[in-house]
Amino acid sequence: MAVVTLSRADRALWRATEDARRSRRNWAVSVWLGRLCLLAGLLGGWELAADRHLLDPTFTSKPSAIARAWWQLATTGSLWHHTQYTLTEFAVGFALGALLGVLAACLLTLSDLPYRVLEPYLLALYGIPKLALGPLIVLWFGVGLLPKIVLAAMMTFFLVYMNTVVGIRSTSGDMVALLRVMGATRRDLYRRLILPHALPYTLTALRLTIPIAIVGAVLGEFLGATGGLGYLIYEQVTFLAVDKMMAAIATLAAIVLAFRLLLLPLERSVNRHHKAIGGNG
Amino acid sequence: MAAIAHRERVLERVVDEHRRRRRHDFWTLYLTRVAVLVALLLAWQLLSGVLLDPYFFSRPSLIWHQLVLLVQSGRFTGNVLLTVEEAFLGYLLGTVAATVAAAVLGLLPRAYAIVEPFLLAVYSIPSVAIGPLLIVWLGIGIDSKVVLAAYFVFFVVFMNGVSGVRSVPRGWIDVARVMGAGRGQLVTKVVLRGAAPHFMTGLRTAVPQAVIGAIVGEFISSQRGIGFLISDASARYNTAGVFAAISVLSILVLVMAILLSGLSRLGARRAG
Repeated sequence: MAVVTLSRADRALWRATEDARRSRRNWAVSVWLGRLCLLAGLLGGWELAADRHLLDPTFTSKPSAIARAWWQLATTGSLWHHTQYTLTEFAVGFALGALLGVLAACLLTLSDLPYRVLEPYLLALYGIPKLALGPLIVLWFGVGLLPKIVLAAMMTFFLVYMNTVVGIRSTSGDMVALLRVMGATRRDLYRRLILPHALPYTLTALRLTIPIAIVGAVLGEFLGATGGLGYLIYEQVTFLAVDKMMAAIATLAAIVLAFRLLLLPLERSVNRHHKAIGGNG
Repeated sequence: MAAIAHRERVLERVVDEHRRRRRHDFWTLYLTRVAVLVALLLAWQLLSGVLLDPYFFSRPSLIWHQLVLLVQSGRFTGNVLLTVEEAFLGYLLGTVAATVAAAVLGLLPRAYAIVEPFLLAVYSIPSVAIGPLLIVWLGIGIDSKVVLAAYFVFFVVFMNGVSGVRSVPRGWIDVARVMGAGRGQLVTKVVLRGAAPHFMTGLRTAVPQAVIGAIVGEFISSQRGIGFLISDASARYNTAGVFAAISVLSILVLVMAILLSGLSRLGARRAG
């Protein structure tokens, strides 16, 4: 008899898991169907509306025209030419800002007084809208690559600095005391405990600053440039070439997306390691 | 009895001493900061022309002169008010759109799952990049700046709002439902109220974003506004004018931050 009840329970359990699996599959299917429908509806609706002149294609263009403009830009090589500019500005500025941010966070947390004196100034600087400094930066550094690098670095610096400080300051005092008792020097402390502990905070800041560093570079290109995707967009205003503008904007979005996706696995693996040294993030 | 009174007196003295020391600490810190600021301004003024090229770095006295000129010529109020108006309208538009979108999508998990990749794609567009497009669509007047400011604001409020709606504990909803709450009550009394702290964070961080959106819109193309003052002075290589306009903007942002923290403290007191 016991065998029968067990198998009945088994069957019920099996049925329940099967139900759950089916409903999960249903959910995934409906979500993917919804996404496809939405995508097709948006693109199709846009295309049709432009063809029937419900939307003026001069101003809103249409998907097929944008794709054609992108392909034309890509095959003539000018897309790559401009992308190179923007990528260089972004990569150098981002790396510089991140490096300086981590360095400043380390230096200022070494002792209490400089931190307490300088912190409000850094916060005040942080409060100044950095994009608003664009024209000043152009005045100082001209219209080459340098002003865009500076703008991208400034956009990156503050968030990286602040997040790293939070990470450093949240290191467990017990751990620090323990390592000190065991004879660790300040350098050991930073290398073995404090910086590894702050790393996830820094990485989060890096992920968040990718789009705004590109914003800095693009604004710099608007304010005066000879190349770059921002320059490409800005240049087209005079020609009302909305298709080319949209193609360039889509390229920018693809770059941002690609960098964010690149950072994601790194962040995940660091977070896994982080739990091992007593972190909580 | 006497022992207790004595202990209280000692305790009082200790607390007093502590308070005095803290006040003392506060003043030292405060004075150090002011001293550093004054020293910086003095060094800037004195080194200008010696170490710093005044053409690039100007000097505090010249900047002050530019500010006075700006006010005297009557160009100050109009330009500041225009930027404030653009930022305010953009903030309103952006927050309303974001709040509605966050409430709807936060409450419908399936709809949210469907639009999520689209949101991610739009979110990846560098906010500044659509500026020229808005100029083409809406012209170089106030409309394009309002919409750009709204676009700067939207995602900040939306992201915070969605995470707020999703953070409402399942238990609250179940309890309210058991007690007979209808769908409307559930939304207004439980979900939106539970999400309020997250929304508030979004609303607060979005304020400077609105100003930056307006300024950037003015950079791209305009004839008035603080952003125009900055880019115009820059185009004339008037460094002092650039610094003057930037300091006006900084003060504006600072005043907004102070007003906002006062408002949110008031709101917190009323809610608590």
